Amino acid sequence: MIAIVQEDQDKLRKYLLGQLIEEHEEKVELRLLTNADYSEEFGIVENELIDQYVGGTLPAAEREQFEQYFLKATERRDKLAFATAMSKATQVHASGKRGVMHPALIERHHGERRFFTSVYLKAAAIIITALGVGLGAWLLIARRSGEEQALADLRAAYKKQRLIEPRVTKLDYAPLATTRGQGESEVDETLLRRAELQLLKNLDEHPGSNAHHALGRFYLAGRQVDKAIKHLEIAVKQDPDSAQIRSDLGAALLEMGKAELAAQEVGKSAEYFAKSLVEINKALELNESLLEALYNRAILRQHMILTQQAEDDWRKYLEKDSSSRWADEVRLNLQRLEEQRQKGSHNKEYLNQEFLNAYQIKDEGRAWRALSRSRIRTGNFIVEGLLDSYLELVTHGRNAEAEIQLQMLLYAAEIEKREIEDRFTLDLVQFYRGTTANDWQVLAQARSLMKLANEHYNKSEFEQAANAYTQAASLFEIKGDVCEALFAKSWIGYCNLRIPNTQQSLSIFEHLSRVSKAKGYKSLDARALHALSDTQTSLSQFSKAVDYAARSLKLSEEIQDDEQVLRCLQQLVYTNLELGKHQKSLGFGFRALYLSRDLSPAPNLVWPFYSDIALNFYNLGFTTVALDFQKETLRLAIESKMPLLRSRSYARLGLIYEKLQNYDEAIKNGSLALEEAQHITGEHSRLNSVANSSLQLGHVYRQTGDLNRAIAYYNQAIQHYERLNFHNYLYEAHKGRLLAFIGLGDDAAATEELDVALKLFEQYRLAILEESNRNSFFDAGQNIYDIATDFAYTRMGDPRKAFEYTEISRARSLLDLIQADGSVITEESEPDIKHNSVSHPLTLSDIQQQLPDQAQILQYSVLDNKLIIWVISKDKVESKVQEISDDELDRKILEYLRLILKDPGNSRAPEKNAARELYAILISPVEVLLDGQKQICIIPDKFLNYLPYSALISPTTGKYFLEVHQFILSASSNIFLSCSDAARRKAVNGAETLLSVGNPSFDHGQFPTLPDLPSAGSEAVEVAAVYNSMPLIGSAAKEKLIKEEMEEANVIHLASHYVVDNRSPMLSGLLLAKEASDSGLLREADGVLQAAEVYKMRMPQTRLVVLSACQTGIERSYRGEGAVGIARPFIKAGVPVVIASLWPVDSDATAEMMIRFHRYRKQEGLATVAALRRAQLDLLGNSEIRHQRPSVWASFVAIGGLAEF
Amino acid sequence: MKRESGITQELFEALLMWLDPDREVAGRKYEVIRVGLIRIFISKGFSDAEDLADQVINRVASRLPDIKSNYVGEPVNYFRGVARNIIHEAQRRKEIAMEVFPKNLNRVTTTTDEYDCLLKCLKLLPSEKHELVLDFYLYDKRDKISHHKRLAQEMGITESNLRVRVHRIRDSLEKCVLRCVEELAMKQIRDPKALVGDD
Repeated sequence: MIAIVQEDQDKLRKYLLGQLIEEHEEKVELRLLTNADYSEEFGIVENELIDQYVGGTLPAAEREQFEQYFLKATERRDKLAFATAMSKATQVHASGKRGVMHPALIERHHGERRFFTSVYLKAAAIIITALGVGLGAWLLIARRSGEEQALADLRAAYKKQRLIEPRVTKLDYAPLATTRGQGESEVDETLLRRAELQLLKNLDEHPGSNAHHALGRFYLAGRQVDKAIKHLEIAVKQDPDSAQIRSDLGAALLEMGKAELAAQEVGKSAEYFAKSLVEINKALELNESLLEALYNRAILRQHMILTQQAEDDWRKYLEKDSSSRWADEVRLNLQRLEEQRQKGSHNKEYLNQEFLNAYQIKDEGRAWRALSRSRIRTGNFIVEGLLDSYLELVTHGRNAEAEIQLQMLLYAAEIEKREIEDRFTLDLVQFYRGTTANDWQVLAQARSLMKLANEHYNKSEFEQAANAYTQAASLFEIKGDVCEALFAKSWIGYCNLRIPNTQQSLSIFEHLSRVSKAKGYKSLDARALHALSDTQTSLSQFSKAVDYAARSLKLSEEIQDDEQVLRCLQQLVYTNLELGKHQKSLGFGFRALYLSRDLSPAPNLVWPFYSDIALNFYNLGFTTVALDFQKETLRLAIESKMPLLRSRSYARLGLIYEKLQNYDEAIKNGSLALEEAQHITGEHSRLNSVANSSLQLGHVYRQTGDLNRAIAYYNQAIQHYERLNFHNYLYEAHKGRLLAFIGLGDDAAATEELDVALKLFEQYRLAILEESNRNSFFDAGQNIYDIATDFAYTRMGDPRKAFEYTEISRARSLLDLIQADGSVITEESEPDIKHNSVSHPLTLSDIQQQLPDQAQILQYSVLDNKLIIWVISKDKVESKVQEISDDELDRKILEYLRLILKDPGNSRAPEKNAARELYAILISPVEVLLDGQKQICIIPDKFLNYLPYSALISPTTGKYFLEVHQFILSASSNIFLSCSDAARRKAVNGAETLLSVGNPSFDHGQFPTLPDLPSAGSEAVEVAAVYNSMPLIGSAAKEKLIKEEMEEANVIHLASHYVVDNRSPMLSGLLLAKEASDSGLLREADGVLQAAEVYKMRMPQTRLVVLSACQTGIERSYRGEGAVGIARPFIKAGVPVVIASLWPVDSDATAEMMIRFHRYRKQEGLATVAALRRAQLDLLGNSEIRHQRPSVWASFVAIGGLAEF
Repeated sequence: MKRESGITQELFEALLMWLDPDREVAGRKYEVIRVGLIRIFISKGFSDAEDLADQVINRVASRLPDIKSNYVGEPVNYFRGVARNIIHEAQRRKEIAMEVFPKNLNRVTTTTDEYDCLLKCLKLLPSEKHELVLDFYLYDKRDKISHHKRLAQEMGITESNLRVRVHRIRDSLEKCVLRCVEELAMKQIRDPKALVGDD
C-alpha cells in the first residue's frame, strides 16, 4: 500500500476540476492506471468534492469549475443526485436521534464522554440552558408534534428580526432586517437548523401538503426563495383550497420578483409579480379574512405601482387588525404613500421656489435640478412662468421688475446650454431681449392662444386645438419668434396625429427634427423623434416606430428629460406589445412606472403604461392581474378628466371581463365606453372611440353567442375605422366579424370577410421589416390562416382553396429573401435582417404546373383540432384529415423524440411503438397516394418540423419510411419549387469543384469545453479524395479563406462544431480556424461563421452544402415561418440542396455516413437525396448495434428542392 | 474480471500475459487499468466512459501482436496513449439539446427517486454499516474533523482507514441506488402517467 499524502489529494482535486497542466495530468492518469489505492483515493476525493458542493461549502471559484467541467459526464450528475439524497438522509438521521435526547441529557449530568452526538442535541441543550427552562419544560415541548415544534423553533429564531418583507403564515411579528449581508444577524441559526431537520424528517415520514407547506414556509422565512417556491408549489398542487399555502406561495413569488428586479430583469420581475398576485388573490377568495394575504397583497401592489389599490388593502387590513405590531407597519406604509402623494401635489410650486432660491445664491447645480424636472409637455413651466411674468410686467411699464425676470431667464438658459448643450431657451431669451412695445401684445396674444389650444387638446378637441396652435404659430412667426413658432408647430403635428391626418403630421415632425438638429434644439428634436415614432405606429410601420423611439429615448436620457423618457418608453411598450413581445413590453412598462413614481407626472402621461401593461398581462394569460391594472387605468382616466381616456379604459375593462367570462360586466363597461365616446367633442377622436367601443362590444356579444348583435357592432366599428383609415383595428374588426359569420353559418359572408381580413393582415408584411419582429408577429397571428384553412376545407369543402390559405402563411420571409434579398443590420445588440419587399407566393395551379414530373408534395397543416394532409402531384390534389388536436400531436412527437434521443442500452420497443403510432397518423392515411417512384417533398407544419420522417415505421410492413421512400424537406411548396428551379439552373455537366473543411483549429479559449474533432478531419480528407480535391483541415481552415472559396465551390462540405446562440439564431455559427482579431458584432474573421454572415453571402455556383455538425437543420420553429437554423441562410443564398442535422450527432458514425454519401453520389452517380438515403440505409444495416439506432442515422435530412445531381 | 467483449479469449490472454506473467497479478493490473480508464473518461466529460474504456482495451489487445516485441516501457503508458487518442477523436455528440426541447426531454427520474432508493438500499446494509455511513456525514467544516477523529477513536482505527471504510460503504450504496433508480425509470416508461413528475 502506497501512502497517499495531502499533496496527492490536492492534485487529484485539481485534476477533477480540470485545473492541472498537461504534464501533471499525465502523472495523475498514469498513477490511476497503476495504483489501486490511488484510484480509490480518486473516488474519495471525488465524493468529497461533491459533498462540499451539496453542502454549499465549495469556494466560489471551484464551484464554477465544478458546474462547468466536473459535472459534464452523466455519471457525475448521478453521483451528485446520490450525494444530495445522502445529505437529506443524513439530516433526517440526525433529527431521528431526537428519541435518545432524554438519556443524553441524563448522560450529561453523569459527565459521560459521548455527550453531544448530534447537532440536534447540542441545539436543544443550548436552548434549555439559555432559557433557563428545566427538563420538565423540555419534555413538554418534546410531546408536541414535530411540525409544531419546528414551527415554535422557527418563530423563536425569527423573534427579533424577519428577513423578508411579506408576511409568512403562522409566524409572529418581527421588524424587517434593514441590513443584508453585513451587520449582526439577530436570527437564531441553531434553532433554524433544528427546525429544518425536523421539517425534513416530517416530510420524509408524512409526505403531503402540510409537510411541503411547512418546509416551504421555513425556506421562505429564510429568504431561500427557490426552495420555498418548489415546496409551496407542490403543496398547492396537493391542496389547492388552502388559503394559507397560496398566501405563502404568493409571498415567495413576490420575493422572487424583487430579486429579478434587483438584477435589472424588469420584464421577468413583472411576470413573477403577476404570478404572485394570482396566488394571493386566490388566497383571499378562499379566505377573505386571511391577514397575511391581505398584508402581502398590499405590499405587492405597492411594488407593482398600483398605489391606490395598495392603500385600499392597507385600510382593509386595519379594519381587521388595528392593534398588532403589523398594524403599526401598515400605518407606516400608508403614511409613506401619503407623503409621496403630497410630494407630487406641490411639485410645481416647490420646483419654482427651488429655482428662485438657487438663483438668489447662484447655486447652478440646484437650479439645474429644478429646471430639468420642470419640463412638461407644454414646455418648461419655470421658463414659461418667467416669460409670462416678464410680458405682464413689461406691458405694464414695470421695466425694472421685468428685467429681473429676464435675468432669471438668461440664467436658466445659460445653465441649460452648459448642462445639456441645448440652445432653445437661450435663443428664446435672446429673442425676447430684442423685443419692443410693438411686439409684446402680439406675443402675449400668441401665448394665450397656446394655452387655449392646450385646453382643447386636453379635451381631445384636436381640430379646435389645431386651429388655435396654427394661429399662435403665425403670430410667433410674424414677430420672428422662431423658438415658440417651432414649438407651436410641434403641437400642430400632434393634433394632426390625433385627428388623424398622419401624413401631415409626418411631414411636420420630419421638418421639425431637421430644424431642431440644425439649431441645436435637443429637447425639441427629442420631442420630434418621439412624435415620429408615434406617427409611424399609427401607420403600422412598427420597425420605423421602434427606431425613432429608441433614438428619442437616447437623446432624452442625454438631456436628462425624464418626462420625455417616459413618452419614449410608452412608444416602446406599445410597439413591443403590438409585435407580441410581451415580456419586453412589460419591461419597458414597469421601467416607466418606477420612473414615474419619483416624478408624479400628470395622470394622462402614466395612463398609457397602465393600459398597455394590462393588455400585456391579458395576452400572457394573467387576466385578473390585467383587471387590477385596468382598474387603475380607469381611475387615472377619471382623474385626467379626459373622456377619450375614460372611453378607452371602459372598453378595455370590458375586454378583460369578457375573458373572465363575466359578460354582464363586459357589456356594461363596453356600453359605458360607447357612452363616454359620445361625449368627446373632437369629431375624429369621437369616431375613433366609438369605433373602439363598438369593436369591444362586438367581441363581447360574439362570446355570449349573440352573433347578430356582434355583427352590428363590428359593422359600426368597421364603418368608422374605414373613415378614419385605421388599419390596425380594421383588421381586428374584420377578423371578429369573420368569426361571427362562421358562427352563424353564413358561408357566403364569411368567404367575403375572409378575403378582406387576410388582405389587411398581409399588409403587415410590408410594415414589419425586421426578421425577428416578423417571426414573433406572424407566429402570434398565425391563427387567421388556420381559421381560413379550416373554413375552406371543412365548411366550403374546397381543399384547393384551403391549401392556398395554408401555403400563403408558410416561410414567407424566406421566400422574400430568396426572391428579393434583404440586408443584414447590426445596429441593435443582435444582428437582424431587414426585408426589402414582399413576394407573392404561387397559387396551387401554378405550383402544380411548375412541379417537376419526378416530384410529389406531402404537405401538412396542423390545426387546433385536426391535421390536414395534402398530396400534390402534377395532375392531382388529394387530401386526408386526421382528427387529432395540435396539443395531442405535439405531445406524441415530443415523447417520440425523447425516446429516440435516450441513451443507448434501453429497450427500443417504446421508441418503435411511438414511430409506428406517428406513421399511422402522418403517413398511413395517404400511403396509397404516395408514388414510390417519385421523390417526395415533405412540408412540415409547426412542431412537425422537428420530426425525423425517415425513422417512422409502417405498422403494416414494419419498414422504416426511409426504406421505402426518398424524400426532401422544404419550408413551403413555393420554397421547394424555388430550390428545384435553382437546381435546374445549376445542373450543368462536368466536374464538380469541392470545398471540404474538417476539424478546424477553432479557438479553444473561447470554446473551452469543446473537443477537437479528428474524425471530422479524416472525414474531410476522405470526402476531398472522392472529388480529387484538397481539404482544408486544422489551422488551414481559416474563416476568411473558406468564405471566399464558398462563393466558388459547387459542393461545400463543412465538418465541424456548430454552436447555438440562445440570444438569436443569427449569432449561431460553425466553428472554423481563427484568422485575426476582429471587432464588431459580426466579426468577419473571428473563426465563427455565423448565420448572419451567411445571410450576407451569395453562392452562385453552389449546388450542395453539407453541414456535418450538430443540430444544423433546426434551432427554433415558428408557426408560419417554420424551421430556423444555419441551413436556412444557405437556401437563401441560392443553394438548392442542404444536408443538415436535426439533433446533436455522433462524430464517428457521421464521418462514416458522410464518406459513404459522397461516394454514392460521386462514384455511383446517385443524386444527392438518393445517395444520402443509401448511406443512411448502410448505417441501418450496420453490424454495430449502436449504428442501427435512428438517433445515429436519422438526424441528417436533405432540405431544399428536387435536384438531378 | 470483466473482459471487453469485442476481443477473443486468445487476445485477452495475451494482453494479460503482457501485463504480467503471473496471471493473478495481471488480473489485478487489468482491473486497475480498466477502472482507471473509466475514471479518466468520466473526468473528461464522457458519459459512455465504460464503452470507451473497453474500446481502449480492445485497441490495445488488437495491436498487441504487432507492438509487443518492440514495445519499450510500461504497458500502462501505451494504454494511456490510446486513451488520449480516443479522447482526441471525441465525438461531436453534445448532451441532449435541452435548448431545443426545453421542458419535454427532462430526465425521467427525480431527486425523490434517488432518496426513496437510498432509503431502500440503506435497509439492505448491515446495521453497523448503516449507522456508520450516516454518522460519518453528520457534520460540516470544523465539526466534521473532530467528529471523524472521535469516530475513529471509538472504532480503534485511524482516521484514514475510517475514511476508506466509509467510502467503500458509500460506493456500494451508490451502486445499489443507481440500479434502483434505473428500475424506477423503466417502470415510469411503462406507465407514462408516472412521467408527470414535479420537475
